[in-house]
Amino acid sequence: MRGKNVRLGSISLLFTVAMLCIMMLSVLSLSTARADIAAAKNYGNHVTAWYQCENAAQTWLSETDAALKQRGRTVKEAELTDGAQIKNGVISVVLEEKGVEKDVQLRISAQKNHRYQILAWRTTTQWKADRSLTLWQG
Amino acid sequence: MRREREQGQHYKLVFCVQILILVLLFLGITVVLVRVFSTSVAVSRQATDVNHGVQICRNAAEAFTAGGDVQDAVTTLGGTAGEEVLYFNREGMCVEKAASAYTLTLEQTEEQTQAGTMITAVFFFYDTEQQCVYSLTAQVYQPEGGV
Repeated sequence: MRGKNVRLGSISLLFTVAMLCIMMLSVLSLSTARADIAAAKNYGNHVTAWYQCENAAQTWLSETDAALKQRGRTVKEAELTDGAQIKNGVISVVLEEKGVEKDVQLRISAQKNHRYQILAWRTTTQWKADRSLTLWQG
Repeated sequence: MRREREQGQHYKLVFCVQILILVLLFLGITVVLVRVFSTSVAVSRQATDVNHGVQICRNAAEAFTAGGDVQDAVTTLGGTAGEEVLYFNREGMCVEKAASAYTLTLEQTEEQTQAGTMITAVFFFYDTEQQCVYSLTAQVYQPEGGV
């Protein structure tokens, strides 16, 4: 009986190692795919926020242009929207949408058909540190 | 002699049972692994679709905001002027409908404001199953007398 043991040891070992390797690969491929989709959605959300801010600036511009058409150079801050300020003939406003900021500056013009000149139309995003991962500091 | 024959049969039975258990285990694990790999492929393809959608919609929006006309976006992306639907392959190139994997629809509306016109363009990006993967809205204000 001792000489007739069932010899499945090497096959079992090979099988186990192969399965472990394939399992590891499958888990890695799934986690990579999930990270890809999360990054793609983050990118999409950022682009959406960017254009929401741009659209808000275009809306503010149309409202400001309407005020300038009505009042010209005598326009007051109270007649402008989104907390716009007037200083030395320059209207400035900072609009914010989901972490994206738009800094707009307009110089008021005296001409009837050219009511303003765009001095600045800047889009910025505040950098926020990603502290979701605990990194080894050495 | 008889006892040795019985032992031989017992040995074969044990061997067969162990092999059967191994094969069943192998099949079970293989089914699980195939499902995990196919999920990975589907999620990865979804990520590619979203990336293409965001990039193409963004390109269209950039072209639109530069000129204030959605037809600028059509020609910039490789379409013919007058089209309202563009087709793209898996590499993101503008192609004929028959060879396409994605669809981009472009809609433009104009609204008169007190001192000009607000032009709005909406871009919808669909995958092969006609599911909306991504959409983007861009606006351009054009004053009536020019800036």
